[in-house]
Amino acid sequence: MGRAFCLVAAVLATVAVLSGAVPALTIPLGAMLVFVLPGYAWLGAVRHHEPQPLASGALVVMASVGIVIVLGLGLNLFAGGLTRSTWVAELSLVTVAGLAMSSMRGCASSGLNWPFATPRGASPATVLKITLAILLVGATGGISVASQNAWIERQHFSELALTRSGASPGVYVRNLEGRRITYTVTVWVNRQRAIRFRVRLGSGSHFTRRLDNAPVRRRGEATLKVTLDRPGARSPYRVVLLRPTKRA
Amino acid sequence: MIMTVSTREQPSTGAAVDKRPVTVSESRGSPPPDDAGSGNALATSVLVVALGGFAVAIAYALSRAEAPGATALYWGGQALIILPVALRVLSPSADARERMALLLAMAAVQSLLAWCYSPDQFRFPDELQHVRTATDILRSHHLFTPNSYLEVSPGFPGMEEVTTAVALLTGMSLFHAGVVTVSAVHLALPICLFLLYRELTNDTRIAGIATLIYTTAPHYAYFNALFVYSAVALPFLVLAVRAALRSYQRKKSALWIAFPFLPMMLTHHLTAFVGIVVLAAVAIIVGLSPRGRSIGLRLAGMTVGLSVATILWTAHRSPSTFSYLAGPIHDVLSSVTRSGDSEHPKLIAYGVPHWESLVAMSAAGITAACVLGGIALVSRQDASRFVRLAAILGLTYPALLVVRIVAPTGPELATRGLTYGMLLAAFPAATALVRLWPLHGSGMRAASAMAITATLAVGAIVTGLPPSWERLPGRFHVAAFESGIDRHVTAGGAWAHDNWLPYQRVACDFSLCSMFAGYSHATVSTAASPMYYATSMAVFDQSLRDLTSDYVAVDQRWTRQTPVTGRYFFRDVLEGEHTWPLAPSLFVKFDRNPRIDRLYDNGPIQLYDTRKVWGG
Repeated sequence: MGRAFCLVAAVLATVAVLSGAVPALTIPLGAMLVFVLPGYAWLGAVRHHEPQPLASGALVVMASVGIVIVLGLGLNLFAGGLTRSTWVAELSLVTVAGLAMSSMRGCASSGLNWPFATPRGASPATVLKITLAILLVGATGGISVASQNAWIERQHFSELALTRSGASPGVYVRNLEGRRITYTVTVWVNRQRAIRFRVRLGSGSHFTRRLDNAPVRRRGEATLKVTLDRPGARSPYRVVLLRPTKRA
Repeated sequence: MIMTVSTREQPSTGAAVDKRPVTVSESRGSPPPDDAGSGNALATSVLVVALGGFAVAIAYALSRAEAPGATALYWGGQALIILPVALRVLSPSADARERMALLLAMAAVQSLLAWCYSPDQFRFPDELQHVRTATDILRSHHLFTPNSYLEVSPGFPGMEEVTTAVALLTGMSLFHAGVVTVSAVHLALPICLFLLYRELTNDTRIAGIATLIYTTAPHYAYFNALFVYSAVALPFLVLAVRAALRSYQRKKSALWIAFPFLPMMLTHHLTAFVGIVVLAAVAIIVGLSPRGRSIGLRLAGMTVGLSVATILWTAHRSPSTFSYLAGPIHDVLSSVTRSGDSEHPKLIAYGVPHWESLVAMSAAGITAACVLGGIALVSRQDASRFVRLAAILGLTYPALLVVRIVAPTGPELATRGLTYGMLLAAFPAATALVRLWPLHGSGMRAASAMAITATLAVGAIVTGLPPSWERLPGRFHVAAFESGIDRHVTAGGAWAHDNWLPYQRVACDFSLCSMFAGYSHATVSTAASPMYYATSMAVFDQSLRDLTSDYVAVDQRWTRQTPVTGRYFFRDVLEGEHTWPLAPSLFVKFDRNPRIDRLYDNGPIQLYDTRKVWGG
């Protein structure tokens, strides 16, 4: 990797991040701006040369991380703080400054090479094995995500909650049962049934309703209890309640 | 000054990687490797390591599906990860590039598996402490917002700065940005270690083997691949020590130490303080070495300067760090000074299979033997005084074993301490292994070296994290680490996040508190256990008034499971005494109290509003 490449990458990263480009661009370029470019530029500027590509790569990453940590303190001093635009501006400037210093001091670019490459290039067998290893890594990630999602999806339940937005309480129901369910929601005021309704929810969806019509003469004087029932479960399936704030 | 610890018997790789004068040891050894063959052999090893990672991921998937065979596949996968790396790194025929690439490949698979264990969100409690600091930075765009979950965290925001920068610049979620950050640093760590040991010994084989031995520190593979601040600080410690060595070996300025030290100081308190101790030790041994007095003085001056900076930073930004770190030190000192009435640690943890305890003890014994043998070997060789003194620093390892035995919290302290102690112990232990498997050694000697390394690696897995009861994911445990956070707990935390104001005081168990404090910005109570255990309404009411909690969480599964960690709650007054699950009658009081509202119910978990009890 040369200084020119580094400079182009810094400019591209700045443009991509600030313009809010697609993730396919912002993820690699943004990551380069944090993990590669500042360290690469400044290791060149201080003439720290490590001929081993892997060693060089590790030092570049750690130098970049160190620079980001110290620069973050600087950004914290400004009113704007640590935002996307201030990070981009600061990291780009630092990278360009490092490259300029490296260029003025006439330092050689360090080589970040493919570690499996030999002077004569990688053999087809090597390329095949590395390709297989990369595919295995991809499969490892894929299986883990799929099995974790399946594990989460197997934990079936429903949520019932009372929310208090403004003067009126609200009832919140969320279906995490893995299938569509028709719930029965019953609102009780001082042990007397006040409202009853059914709600049909698909898996993963939720329902919220404000209890404006609950027949409470003066709010806070009665116990408000909400029960949730669903077919095939003991009754009540879920219970929430608000106690009176004042004695009637 | 170039030094080597090699002797007539000791081989070398013949693969000096830089332009320094080649030492006697490096000029001898195996013939130059065939480039194409070497690349192909390396690719084969990497493929096997990747296959091992795949096998472990399948084991995780089987465990989540409660299918049989997960444990066997897990250990088979670990063998595929460890053995090819150990074989080639130990082998005299490997070159520096191959050793580094394999150590890197192993670190990459470890990072991958740390993510595969919980691929959708952070679950480990320490990670959630830092999630809160990182979220505060994203929300306020500034550092140092107080964090009641881990008071010292905002004062050392290095990891969170990098993570939030990645999140902001790439658009990734905080979770993915955190995984990328710690993975990048975890990948750099073995290479930094290799460079450190190469700087010390000028021998790439010893450097590779020392790095391999370091990877058998209990927290290397998993804990230090998590979103925790020590993981990010560790490579900076290695680079700071390397810079100190370079100031002696290559006459570089001692000022270079400051460049890795400053980010370390801003990232993790303990690593910074350990760094000061190690730099002081290096300054002393340099001062005692031939022609090292003036460099030693410069190193000492640099160390003093960095110590002052660290103390000032800590005192200014996070003064509670001193008491935070003093607790464990006080534990160790009081255990040493107190007579036989002191509380002794459980050397064999609850529920750990006997074979695991046996392997752990064997690994500790073998490591100690290798360290002591290595120190003896180095002292008998024609090594320089500097190298001989550096080897003596390996005595840190037996010292940590003593801490493990005498201190009440010894196992945890020693396990954490080995992250740093192994830095010093790996070099003499590597010297012993090199002696065991010399260049023209018999197959038996090679097999012995492999067996030792495999035992150390298995010992690291069984003493490190995740503990045996949650080594494979998928089974819920109440009040546990990752296994305590299932969909019910996550849903409760998400609801609290959406409905509670930040900094509400909450009483909860260990797992629920992790969620509430990490994701919902709640202030969790560490004194709530007497309230849960209260059997009379009067005591219960009084406990609630004393706690002044805004909310209380109850998980009905406490009545069905005992806690594998020995306690349900932070500072549980009945810690270690839970031989039966809690009685269901203990939780009826929440629904009977006329001043408590039940706001949330998802089956096992109920959240109560208790503000009316104390007039909040």
